[in-house]
Amino acid sequence: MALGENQNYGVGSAGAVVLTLLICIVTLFQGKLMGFGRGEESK
Amino acid sequence: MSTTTTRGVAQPAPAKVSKTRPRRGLRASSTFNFWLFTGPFLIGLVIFVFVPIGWSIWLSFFEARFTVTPSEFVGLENYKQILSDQDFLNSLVTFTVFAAFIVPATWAMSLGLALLVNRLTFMRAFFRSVFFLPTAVSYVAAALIWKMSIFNGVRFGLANTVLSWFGIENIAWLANPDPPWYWLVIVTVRLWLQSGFYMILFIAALQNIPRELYEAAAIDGAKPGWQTFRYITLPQLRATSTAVILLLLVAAYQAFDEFFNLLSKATWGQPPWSSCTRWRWARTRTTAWAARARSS
Repeated sequence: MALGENQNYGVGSAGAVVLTLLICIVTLFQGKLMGFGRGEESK
Repeated sequence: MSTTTTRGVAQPAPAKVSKTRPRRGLRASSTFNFWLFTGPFLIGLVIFVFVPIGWSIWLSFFEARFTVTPSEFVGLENYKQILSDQDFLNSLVTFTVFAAFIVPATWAMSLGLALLVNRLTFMRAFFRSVFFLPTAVSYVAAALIWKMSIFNGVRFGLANTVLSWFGIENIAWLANPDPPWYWLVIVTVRLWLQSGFYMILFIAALQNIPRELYEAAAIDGAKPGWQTFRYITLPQLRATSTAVILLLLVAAYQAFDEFFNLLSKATWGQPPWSSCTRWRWARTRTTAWAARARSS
C-alpha cells in the first residue's frame, strides 16, 4: 500500500504517473477519433 | 487656363520635437517587461507544478518510506506493485466507466445548452445565469439533495413520484446494485453541477464564429439546422471541444465527493465507492491506529 501503515511514496508516485498516462492516452485517442484539436490548415 | 497655387492652402504643422529623453536600457525593453510580469508566475509554476511533477516521476523509481526523499532505487518495482494492487485496478475501472458516461454526456449537454442560449433573442443573460448557477453549488450539498430528496428510493421521492405517474414501481436507486441505478444518480448530479460552466465556454466559442461563414453556406445551399451545425458550427468548435473534453476527463478521474456522499451508507456489501482508493487507504490506517490505541 502506498498509504496507511508502512507507507511508500514511491508506489503512490507510480500510481499518479499511471493515472496521468491513462488520461493522456484517452485524450489523444479521442482527439484522433473525433478530429478535435486538428489545425484548420491541416484539413 | 488654370493655374495652381499653394496660397491659402493650410500647410502641415511642423512635427514637434519631443523634449523628453528617449527611454533607454532595460526599462524600454519589451523583453524586460515580459519577464517582469510573467516572471513571478513562472517561478510559482516551476516550484509548485513542474518540480513536483518531475520529482514524482523520479520518486516512482525509488523506495521512499515516510519521506519524499528517494532512498533506494527499485526500478519498475513500484509500478509492478501498484498495477497488481486490486484496489487500484478497481479504482481505475470504476473511474474509467464513470468518465465514459460523464464526459460525452456533459459535452453534449453543455453544447446543447450553449446552442439554445446563443439563439435566444430575449432574456439571454437570465438563462445564461440560471444554467450557470449550479456551478456555484457544493458537490457535497448537491449529492445530499440527490440522495435525500430526488433519488431517495421511497414513494415520495421526486424521481419515484414522476415514475408513478406512468405506473412504474418504486426504484431503490441507491440501495440495490442490481440493476446498477446508482450510476444514473452519480452521473446526473455531476451533469447538473458542471454543465453550466462548460456551456459558458461553448457560448464564448460560438460568438467567435464569423457570421460570413453562415452567409456563405446559405448561398452555397446549406440548409439551416443540421447541415449548418455539422459543417460550420462543429468544425469551428474543435479547439474549444478539445479543451472541454480534456478538462472533463481530468475532473472525472478526480471525482470523490459525490461517490462518498451518495454511497457511503450503501447497504449492499461491496459498494463501488470502495474503489475510491484514497479513502480506503485512509480508513485502513485509521482502523489500525484505533486498534493499536485500544490494545495499548
